[in-house]
This record gives sequence, C-alpha cells and structure tokens, in this order.
Amino acid sequence: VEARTIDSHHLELRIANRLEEIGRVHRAVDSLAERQGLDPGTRRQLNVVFDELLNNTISYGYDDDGEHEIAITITVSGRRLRAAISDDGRPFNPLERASPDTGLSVEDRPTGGLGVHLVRNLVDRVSYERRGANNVVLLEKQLPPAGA
Amino acid sequence: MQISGEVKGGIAVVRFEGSLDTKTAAAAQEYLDRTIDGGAAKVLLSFDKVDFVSSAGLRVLLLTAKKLRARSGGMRVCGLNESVAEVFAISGLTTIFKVFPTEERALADF
Repeated sequence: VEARTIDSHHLELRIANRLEEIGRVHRAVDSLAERQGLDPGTRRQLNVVFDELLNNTISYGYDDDGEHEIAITITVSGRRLRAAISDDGRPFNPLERASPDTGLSVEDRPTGGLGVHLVRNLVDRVSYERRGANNVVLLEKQLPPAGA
Repeated sequence: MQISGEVKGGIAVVRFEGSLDTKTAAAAQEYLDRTIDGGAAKVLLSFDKVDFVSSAGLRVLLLTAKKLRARSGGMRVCGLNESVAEVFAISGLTTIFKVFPTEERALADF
C-alpha cells in the first residue's frame, strides 16, 4: 500500500480491497485538487465517482476473501483529467449495470443501482477494459478553466 | 463524519458533518435507525456541513424516508451545497424528497 505523487499533475495510489481504504483516495483527490486549484464542485464530483467505483469493486469484485491491490492513477494534462482504476478481481464490467428508473416514488424506488448512474453523469467519459487478469475502468473529465 | 442531533418542537434535527459515503453510511444509518426507533416521526436532516454525498449515502436517505412514511412520519432535508444538490438531481431525489435551503424553512414546513 503506497501513495506517491510524481509531480503536481500525476498521482499514483495503491490501496487494499477494504472499504475503509477509500478514504485514502478521497484525501489524495483533495490534495490533488488543492495543488491544481480545482474548484470545490469538481473535487467533490471526483470523490463521488471514486467512492462509487471503488465501493463496487471492493464489495462485488472478488471471489475470495484474500487481500488484493487496487491501483488508481490520476493525470491532469491541460484542462483534462484522466484516471484509471485497475483491479485483479474476476472479470466485472460495472458499466453493464442498468440505470435505475429515477422517476419512481420513495415506496417503489430500489435503494441500489444509483452508483454507476452517478458516475456516468459526473464524468465526460467512462469505459471498461479487461486487460489480461485486470479490470480497468478509465475516466475522462474536462476541467473548468482555472479560477472559474 | 460527525453526527449530532437535537429535538426542536417535536422534530428530530440530525446534522451531518463531513461526507456521507461508503465509509460513513453505516454510522449514519445506525444513528437514524436509533432516532426513529426512539419514537421520532418527524426528522429533519441538515447537510449544512456536508462536503459530498455518494449513492451509499443516498441509500441511507431512501431507507429512512421509507421507514418514516411507514410510520406516517415525515422527512425534510436542508442545506445542500451545489454538489450534493447535483447528486440529488441526477438521482431523481429532488422531486421525491422535500428539500429546503435552510433549517428554519424546513422546520416551518412540518
């Protein structure tokens, strides 16, 4: 388990497949946001997106109870942010989960399934690839102009 | 995440501080369950000091709203920052939860 910042534009973080580890990713996003001068809205959107995707992977992605590593990279280039989340769980495409019916009433509303729906709406592009023994989720998000 | 509560004119006011996400949802659920089991039928959730909310947090709110409806109670929500409001809107919750800008306005609606 390690975190390192290669420069102010690039971040690599490895976490264990435990839910409490997601907090380390939130802290890394917060510190990247500070260095990059990201607005609070963008910083919070990124935190929601990582919370959703990592929760999915850690909760549903493994067939065994062993410890696994999840690698997160975030790169900011110009006003474009790219991120990747890579895990060695069983083949699992989180994007295949159907979007919920957000028009239902409180009584009829299932309490799950909102996570991926949020991810799709909070980034510009999200895609999934199976690379060898790894699941890789790729994210792209256009950042607002600095100081906006 | 810190959670504090008080009763104002028969309404249980629950104030969250921090983020309502995967890590903190269980504690929030436990607190709200205790509040409802303790007899509260009217609950106001204040997000004044909440940074962000993910679907794990929304799930807590949906479950709480369902429990309160089953008891003929009511839930109001207040103090959402723009990001939390965005998450509510994307999830279609702005229309099914009663959302107010301030605690005072929400309390007056019960």
